[in-house]
Amino acid sequence: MLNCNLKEDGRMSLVVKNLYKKYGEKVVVDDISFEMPKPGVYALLGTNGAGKTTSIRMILGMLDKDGGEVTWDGKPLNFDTCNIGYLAEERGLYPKYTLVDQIRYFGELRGVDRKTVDERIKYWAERLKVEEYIYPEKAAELLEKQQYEGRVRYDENGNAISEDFSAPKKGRKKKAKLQSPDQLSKGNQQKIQFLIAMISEPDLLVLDEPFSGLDPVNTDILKEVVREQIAAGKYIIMSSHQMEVVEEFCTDITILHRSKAVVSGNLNEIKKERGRVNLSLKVEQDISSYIKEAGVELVSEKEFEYTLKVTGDEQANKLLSSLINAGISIVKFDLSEMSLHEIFVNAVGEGEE
Amino acid sequence: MNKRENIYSLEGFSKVFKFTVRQTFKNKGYLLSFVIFVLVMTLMGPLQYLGQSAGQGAAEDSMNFNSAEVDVDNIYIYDQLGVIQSSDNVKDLYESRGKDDDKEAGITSDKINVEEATDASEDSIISGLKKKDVAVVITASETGYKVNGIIADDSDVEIDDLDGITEVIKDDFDTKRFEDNDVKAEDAQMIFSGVNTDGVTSETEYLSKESKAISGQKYMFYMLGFSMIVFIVVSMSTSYIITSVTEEKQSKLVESLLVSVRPMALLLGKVCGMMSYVVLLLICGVIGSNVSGYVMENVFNITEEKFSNSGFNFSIFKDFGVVGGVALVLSVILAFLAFGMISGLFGSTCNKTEDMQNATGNVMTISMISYFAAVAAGGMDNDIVNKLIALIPPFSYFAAPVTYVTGRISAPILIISYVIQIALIVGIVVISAKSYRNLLLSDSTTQKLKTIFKSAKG
Repeated sequence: MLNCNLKEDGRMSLVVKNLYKKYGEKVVVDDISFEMPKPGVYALLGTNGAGKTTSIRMILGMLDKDGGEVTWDGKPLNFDTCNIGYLAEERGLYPKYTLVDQIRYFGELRGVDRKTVDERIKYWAERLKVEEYIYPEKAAELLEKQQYEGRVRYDENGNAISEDFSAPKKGRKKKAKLQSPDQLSKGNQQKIQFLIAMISEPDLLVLDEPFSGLDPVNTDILKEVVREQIAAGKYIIMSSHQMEVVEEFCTDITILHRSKAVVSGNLNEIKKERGRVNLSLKVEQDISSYIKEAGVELVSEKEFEYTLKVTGDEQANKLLSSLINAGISIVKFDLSEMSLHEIFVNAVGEGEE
Repeated sequence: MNKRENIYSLEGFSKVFKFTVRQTFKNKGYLLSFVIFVLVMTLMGPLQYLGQSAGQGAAEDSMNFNSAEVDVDNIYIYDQLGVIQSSDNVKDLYESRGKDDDKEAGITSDKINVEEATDASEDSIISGLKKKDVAVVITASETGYKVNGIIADDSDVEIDDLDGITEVIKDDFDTKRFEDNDVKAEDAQMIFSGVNTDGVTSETEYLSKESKAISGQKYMFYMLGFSMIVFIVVSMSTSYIITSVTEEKQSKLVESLLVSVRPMALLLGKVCGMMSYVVLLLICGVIGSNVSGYVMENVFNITEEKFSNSGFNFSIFKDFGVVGGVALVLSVILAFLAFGMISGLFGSTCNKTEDMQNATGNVMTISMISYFAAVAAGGMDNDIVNKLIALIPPFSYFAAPVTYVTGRISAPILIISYVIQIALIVGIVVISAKSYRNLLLSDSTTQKLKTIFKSAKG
């Protein structure tokens, strides 16, 4: 497998051009284009059924395209021209094969030798805290620990009685057996799948809903890994419905709605284009009349703390001036850009219209 | 789709193949099946032989009359027709024993008394018999003659022994009667059977005349055996391949796989991995079958001829020499590839367990029809049918090599048959290459062939 090392001149880039797909007469992806000229995180967002997964499948060469092209460093993107890691939205594992066998299989398919695969399994198992599901000895340790903890007794003062649990009791030690993959929780299966995606140390990482179904602790673990990958100069395409996560990581986005791209580009620029329209204002008296006079839209109000929607800096400044001129004491005046959530909802709404 | 991408690429095939083989042999169920099948194949011949021998033995025991084991003191023969005049004419009663044998048990010549023909009634004869005496009375009747065996009311003689003695005397009486009238044994046989055997051609003569090395019965026997092997191979693999493909599709693992391996490599690796399991099983079974044959012959003195005649066993592959064996093995492999690929395609249309049952049913139906067609053709042993069954797939996968090794078709026809079989496999491969990936990613639950062809078109 070709190992695409990142070049310092940034020549390596991912270009998706005029991607098009239809099933029968129904167009499911209509002329989608975007580019990742440098490492970072690109978000592919959209409503359910907008064509995100189909687009990802076409980008990765899994699905035939009816039009368009996808290139990596000027060459058609496939697993021969690029080291790809993919975490699919609907995750799964072979239900009866051992996890080690499965991970090794994927490692071998991606051209990683057995020794390196085993080293990486060890590394990622530790990072993702899934060792006890992969290694029998770790499962045994955990079991022993649980047995040990189960035998701890406490005196009336809450102190542990130590004399009878210094060593495991003879005949009580159970043989540790690894859980079969289909017995793992959804979150743990997801972490194993993420491990599989990382086993070849990919240059292009495609993560479809990477944080869905994870508890806060595991979400933080995975976020940390994603941050590391960004820092390491990897190209990441992320699809998610969790807008705050996308905002946290993504520099560029495409929002799909009904198979078309309704918004596409750099997230900061998209926000800048839409201006600063969210005004959070806290005062010490009722200012409804001033808001009405300035033509500002009132979103909500609670104990003289107002959430307002302005058309831009000019309208916000006009309101601010009128308040100052009226001698109203201002506790907080915070004018901010649209959130990604708002951009998404607006874009989809406009798309409906 | 990127037009430069080679959809027929087999990159990654060996890795999928190795993984499939490893996991198959790691699976306890498959390991157990392997051991059981090899044992069954190994012991099939001996078990059939023993079963048949036991049945035959019991039947023969009831038919055979052993004069050495009969406990009688005297046999009185009353022949009113005067054919049997001395004990020399009923030699079959004591043929296995010396005339002067003085052992108490068994029939010796001195125990046989040919009485002068009298009109004595059976009642008077019975009254004169002792406990270990037997009388056989031959009297004239409207249809010719009749032979009756008689014992005393309180006789110790077994009824089976009485029947045996009576039957032997009747046969000897017939023989002597024909001799006395200068009738040959063959003519007598014709009179009783109603068949004139003068114009009958022996099996060897017939086969030589028809340029056939193997009889119709053996042909059917080999056809039955070989098509059974192909059927077993296909049934064992169909379910596995469909389950395996569906499992990857259902679990969405296939999405991760398709960014690492070409679809054709994925399918063929799986099919060939499973094939190696089945072929290894067959090889072990055939070796086992031959070993058991060797042991039967060299340890128990049961010759291969007797052994083979008792029923089908898996030593069939060595009955036809190297070329025949290669033809048979090649056909098994081709059948496996064809049905394996079809199974993979049907598997890729499945989304649920019910779909898998339907898909397995479809493939099994095709293989079952082919199996029965091959068996029927073996029974018919007709020149045209033999050629057709050898040439038309999917029947040819089950029948072609047997028609060749038994001399029903020539080598060129076999080669044409293989070309057609391989062409069909190539056709399936082309359709698979075009449709397998799309079917794997499709949520459609329709398993009609039309879905596959539609998907192949894109």
